[in-house]
Amino acid sequence: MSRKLRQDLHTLAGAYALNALRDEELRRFEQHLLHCDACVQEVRGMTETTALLGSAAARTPPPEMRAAVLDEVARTRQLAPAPPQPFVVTRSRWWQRGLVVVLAACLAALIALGAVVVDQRREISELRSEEQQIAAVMSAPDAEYVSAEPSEGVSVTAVASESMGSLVFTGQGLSQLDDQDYQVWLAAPDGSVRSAGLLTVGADGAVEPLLAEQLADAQTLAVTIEPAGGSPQPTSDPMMSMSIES
Amino acid sequence: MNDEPVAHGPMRNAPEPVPPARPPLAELLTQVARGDERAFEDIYDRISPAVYGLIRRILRDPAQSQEVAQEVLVEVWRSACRYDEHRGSAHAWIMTLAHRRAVDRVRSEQAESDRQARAAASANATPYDQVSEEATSRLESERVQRCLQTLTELQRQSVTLAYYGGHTYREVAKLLSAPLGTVKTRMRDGLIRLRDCLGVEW
Repeated sequence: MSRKLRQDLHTLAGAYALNALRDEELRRFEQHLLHCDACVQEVRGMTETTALLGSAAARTPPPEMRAAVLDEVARTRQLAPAPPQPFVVTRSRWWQRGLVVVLAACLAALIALGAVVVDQRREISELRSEEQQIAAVMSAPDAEYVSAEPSEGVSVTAVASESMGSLVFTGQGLSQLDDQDYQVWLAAPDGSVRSAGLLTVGADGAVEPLLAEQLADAQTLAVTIEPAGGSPQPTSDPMMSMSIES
Repeated sequence: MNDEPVAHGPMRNAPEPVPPARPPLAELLTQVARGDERAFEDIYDRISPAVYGLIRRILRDPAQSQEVAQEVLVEVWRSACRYDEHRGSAHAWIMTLAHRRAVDRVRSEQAESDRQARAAASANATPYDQVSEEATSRLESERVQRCLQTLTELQRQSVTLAYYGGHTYREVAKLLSAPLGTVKTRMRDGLIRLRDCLGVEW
């Protein structure tokens, strides 16, 4: 049922890009976008397309408009730059609140994200994995890849295999931490959250693939920065999170 | 290392062969975000026909269109620093702003006072009906027209009624006497076809 709903929402991408949604539907679709990387991607391409429809209607504006605009501009104060976007809104017990995610990706809708994914896939396969298990997840017939860039220069990839109940998480561009560790968490819908381990980040910012097994009902994967050695439960807000429900 | 070919013979005295390429809109927007009014003038010259033309297409009334176009362009200046090039092109950012403002205007009004104001305004407005003469924009516009023709009738009507007409998809369904679900889907697959025809890559 909920999958049906999601699919239904997804078809609203066209109407959204045409600015043809209102009120409740608009709100619901924007909510949906927060959790669906593939939809964001699709909407982007469509918005570029509608912009071309827009400029196809170009016509010369009245000549006096230029002076009027420049005049007003000279009197108009600009907005201050937005504060650097936090990865995620600060709240405690984020894993119980359905998360305010800046980055989210839906494995369920998994649509090839284009070159990024292909590159990531190759990069992943080039990483020497000590554990055969990691290789097995990545080469599983039902392996699904999701990539995202939580911030400039940082990219992360999750590869999940439902049949194996496992997931491999990797990334690059992370800075090495002093006296702290990146810790990966899996959160279930009942609010429980468990550690999936600490990330090992190389001097070049590459993250060694991390294997998370027994995904079971895990719904969200998140990364926090914890005191060195990790914590039993997260003590800070996630720097990134992605939806992994199937 | 200097990779430029060595000039010899008549080449040596040749004038600068290529005029400097126009800076990309996104770059200008970055300069505008730092308060550069010169860069804003460039943006104005580059984008105002598209902004005005789209708004005019939606609102029809010249005076009102000019008013909204001015608002939009000042908004570009005001919020330039909020543009994020990772989310899309500067062109799309500005056109989205223009479309939203125009549609907001269409949807919020229909009030008597507004209609009267509009009637009064159009009475002494000069008609500016000539289409932008810039060759590139004419070519671009022809290309869009060609691609629109590749859509099915229902796709094309769904897309244009929503975009140029400023209608919600529910209104479009009513106008076309088509089921909601169909219109929704046609908008999506219509845009996908259009996107592919135009070679949009994002």
